Amino acid sequence: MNFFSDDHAAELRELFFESATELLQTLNEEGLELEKRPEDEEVLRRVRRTVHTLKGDSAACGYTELSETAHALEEVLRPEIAAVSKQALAEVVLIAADTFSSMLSAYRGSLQPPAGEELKQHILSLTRKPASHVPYKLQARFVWSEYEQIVVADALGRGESVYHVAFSIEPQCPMRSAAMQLIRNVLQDCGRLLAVAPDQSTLSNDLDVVEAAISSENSEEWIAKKCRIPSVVAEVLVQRAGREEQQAEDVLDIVKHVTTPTEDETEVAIQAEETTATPAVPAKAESATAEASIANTPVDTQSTSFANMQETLLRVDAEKIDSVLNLVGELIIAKSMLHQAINEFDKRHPKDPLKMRFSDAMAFQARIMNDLQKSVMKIRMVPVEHLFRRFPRVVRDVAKSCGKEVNLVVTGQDTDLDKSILDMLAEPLAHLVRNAVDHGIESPTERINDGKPAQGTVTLDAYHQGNQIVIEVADDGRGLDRERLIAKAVDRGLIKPGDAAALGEADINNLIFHPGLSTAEQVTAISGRGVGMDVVKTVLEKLKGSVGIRTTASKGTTFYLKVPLTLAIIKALLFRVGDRLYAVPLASVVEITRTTQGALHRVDSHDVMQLRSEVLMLLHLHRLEKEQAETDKMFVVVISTGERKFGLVVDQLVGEEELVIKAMDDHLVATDLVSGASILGDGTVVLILNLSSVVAKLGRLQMVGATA
Amino acid sequence: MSNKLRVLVVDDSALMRKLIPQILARDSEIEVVGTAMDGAFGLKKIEDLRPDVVTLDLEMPRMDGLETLRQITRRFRVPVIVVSALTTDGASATFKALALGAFDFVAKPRDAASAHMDEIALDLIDKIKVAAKSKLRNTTAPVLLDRPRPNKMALRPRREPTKVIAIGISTGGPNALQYLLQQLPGDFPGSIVVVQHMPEGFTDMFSRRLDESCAIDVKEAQSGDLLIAGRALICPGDRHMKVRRMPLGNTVVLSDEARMNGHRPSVDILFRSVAGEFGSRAVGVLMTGMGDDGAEGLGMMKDAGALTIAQSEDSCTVFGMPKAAIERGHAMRVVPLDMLANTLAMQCNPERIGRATVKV
Repeated sequence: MNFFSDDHAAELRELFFESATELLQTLNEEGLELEKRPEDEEVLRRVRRTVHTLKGDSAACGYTELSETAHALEEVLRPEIAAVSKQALAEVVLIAADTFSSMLSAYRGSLQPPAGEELKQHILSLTRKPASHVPYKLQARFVWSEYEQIVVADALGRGESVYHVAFSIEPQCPMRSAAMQLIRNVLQDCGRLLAVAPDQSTLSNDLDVVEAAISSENSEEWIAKKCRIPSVVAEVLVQRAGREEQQAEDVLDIVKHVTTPTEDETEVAIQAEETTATPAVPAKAESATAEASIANTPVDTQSTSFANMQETLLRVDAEKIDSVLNLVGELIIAKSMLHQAINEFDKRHPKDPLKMRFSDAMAFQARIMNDLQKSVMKIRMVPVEHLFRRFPRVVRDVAKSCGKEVNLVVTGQDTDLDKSILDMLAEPLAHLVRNAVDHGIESPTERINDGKPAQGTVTLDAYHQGNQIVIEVADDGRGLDRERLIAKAVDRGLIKPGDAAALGEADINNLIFHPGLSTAEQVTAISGRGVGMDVVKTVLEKLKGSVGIRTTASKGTTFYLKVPLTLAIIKALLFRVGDRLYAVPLASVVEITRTTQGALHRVDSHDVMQLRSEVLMLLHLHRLEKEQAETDKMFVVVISTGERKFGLVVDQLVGEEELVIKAMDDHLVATDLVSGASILGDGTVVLILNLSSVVAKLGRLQMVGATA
Repeated sequence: MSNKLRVLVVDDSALMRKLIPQILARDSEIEVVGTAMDGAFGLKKIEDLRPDVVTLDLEMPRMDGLETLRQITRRFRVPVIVVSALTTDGASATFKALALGAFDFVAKPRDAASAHMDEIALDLIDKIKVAAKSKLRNTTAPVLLDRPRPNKMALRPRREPTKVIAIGISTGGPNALQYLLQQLPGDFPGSIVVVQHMPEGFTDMFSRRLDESCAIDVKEAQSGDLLIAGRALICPGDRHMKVRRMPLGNTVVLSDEARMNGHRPSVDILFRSVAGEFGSRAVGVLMTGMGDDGAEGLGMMKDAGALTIAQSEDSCTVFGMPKAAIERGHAMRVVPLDMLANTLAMQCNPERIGRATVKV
């Protein structure tokens, strides 16, 4: 029977996953800090507290594998061990963070979690000292209970021959308790059974070594032979326990090797003076120093202000906020409906005194609506730090695995961004950071030869730019190799050899986003599989953002990810093409200009026009609708996607409006040219153009048209 | 104003701040009036909310549990129940907390989806209720002094004990037992076996602490340990302990039998085996604790000829188990805690026993 109703349990689990994810992030950060300052006890204490909380929480949810592993880790997070193991401990903490994370995902998917064997080995290796020499393969210690000690001593005292026998049980042996019984029977055949460990009350299925003491008239060889039970016993060790000093030392030697006592047992072990083979009781790692270390945790001044804030924080399901946002969106539509109705009213009854009151109320409502919208949007905003904080670990791991020295500089982490955008950016950004370290930054020797410091720098920055957020990933490495990019693109048939010369700088750089192109000499585990960069682009397009590159040979490469502040409401420019109403995000509009047919030129089958000193490629939107009605005068909306500018030829400009984007189901829309739709106050539907697809599509259309 | 017990939960884990109130919500007499994420907030909330009982986690950032506890006991009169993690450090901190005046402790909730939770829940609810009552009653709880480490015998000679003293103890036990055992001299001639209700994993550290602060030896019992003079064996959590006479000496045997009246270790099981094996050579002592575990066993010891003692009401943190024994007529004497060491020393005095045997 379950203690909690399913609802409660599910709620608890949700809470667990959420807080565990945060704890793991903290663990990663603390692990890195520990790597820098392995002897700082305060850092160690913080790591231990994090692991401790994780352990307690996972135990509470019944996730035993996780809690047991965390427990094992917690036990080695001690100043004594840190002092000896130095960076190795931090390494283990980081490995643990990864292991815990994969366990979490397994739990989340109700799968069997990974056993974390590797981690356990690492943890063990911290406490185990290397054995000076290994006298026997079989590890036996012959620790008897106090009563057994007297029994053995008594037998020795009466001059009987006492043998210590140790069995290791065949790993494949299925029935461990049956094996134990068999061994007992055999021992009783050999002589008088004096002592057996483990005792019967602690029988378990992971039994692998049985130790016993018998008094026997037979020889060691005879006993050893007799004790080899096929398919049950893998190895037998028989030793005469005797009065001779030499033998006792021999046994003690095994003991030392097996138990590796770290400190003297505080308890005075009751010694059986008669038994020469009394081994030291295995000492455990806990000690008075460890006790003292938790007793006086100093007040963590750094985190004080933050902790103060936290108490007033509310955890709210993102879905709830989304539904509020949705309602606000509807309200805005309602507002423009009202607005239009009032305008109508104005026109019909210009003299009506009610008019003034209407417009006052309207203005008041508009202001409140604006504030409401802003505050709801703010709720969804989270600092970019949430995203950035995982990168120190990524950079460290990648740098380590490809033998580079990389320093990560993070700025602008206070910049706020919509949570859903932030979540979607995680993958592309991780990819860019990995690429920067793996491909961008050169190896230390290469860098020194180039006259750069051996340590490369990767910079992450975030800042506002108008209605957009720009995230920069910059490295000071070798820069993009344009020649190779072109060569590869030609090789793969992405461009024609002849066209290569006509490509502008930005075009060449953009080749990198083409699926199936990777400039890395070798495909490493980290990057270079040619997938990824196109993922970066796809995600950014989905976000109505863009990605740009700036690169200088041997100076470095900078990627600019531009994303809108939010996905839900955009400021848009509305225009008509034919009888249809379209919108583009205002953020991507650079300017609006007019031109005439006469001012157009055709270059490479594209219409272009001169805009001041620039040549602007024009896209005729009505070609999408297969209409050819071109007037002499036309409006050109200059838009920028990434680093490039295009001119959209439109029939009529309608105006600027705040649009509440209604995402459109994939099944409803057969094209990716439109990223969403919105409803205006008068009920008209506006299609919001997906600029990058439009550019790609129209550019190609025109090319195809030219060749056909 | 409702007459529910008002509880404040102080824990740095968001999960625990949710889980513990959910556990407590199952009892209609208890109301969680607030939670706090660390000691500093905890203190503030105690001041604001004036709870009847506080549950306290020991491992917390900023002000840790022990420091918080120190401040709570200095500034407020509110019983604190420590919610303790199962680690060596955790156990050690737990006993420090008890010495600092925490009322009792419970193990951190584990495995919300299992039946195990029921036990933990009941344990926590019971302890909160008892703790709330204790606030109203003025107990003369023993004052534990920080004593210098006693001089121990380097190597204790293995002597047969004059008597076997079986002690059963529960809530309020750690402090009371430490008080009692500290008063026994290093050459105490009796051998002591103790069942202290305590979750698995805490008894080892508990025994070590006692061993460090007492002149007699204290050890967590292992199967096959000998009953020798001047040593106390503490039954490990979640196992039962019995005594057994063997050809070459008297030993304790641990076992994993089912719970006895909801307890493992069970005082009744120990007392019954002591009655069977040692009869009049034993002394049974039932000390502070909830419930009635040990009351029947004490009766058996009495019938087997042993002296049976119940701890007096005014010296008990919780007068439950001794009360049950007294009411059933199984306790021959009622002794306050501060007289107990003396009484035991008298009972075990070899000369006195010698005289008694001569008389018989």
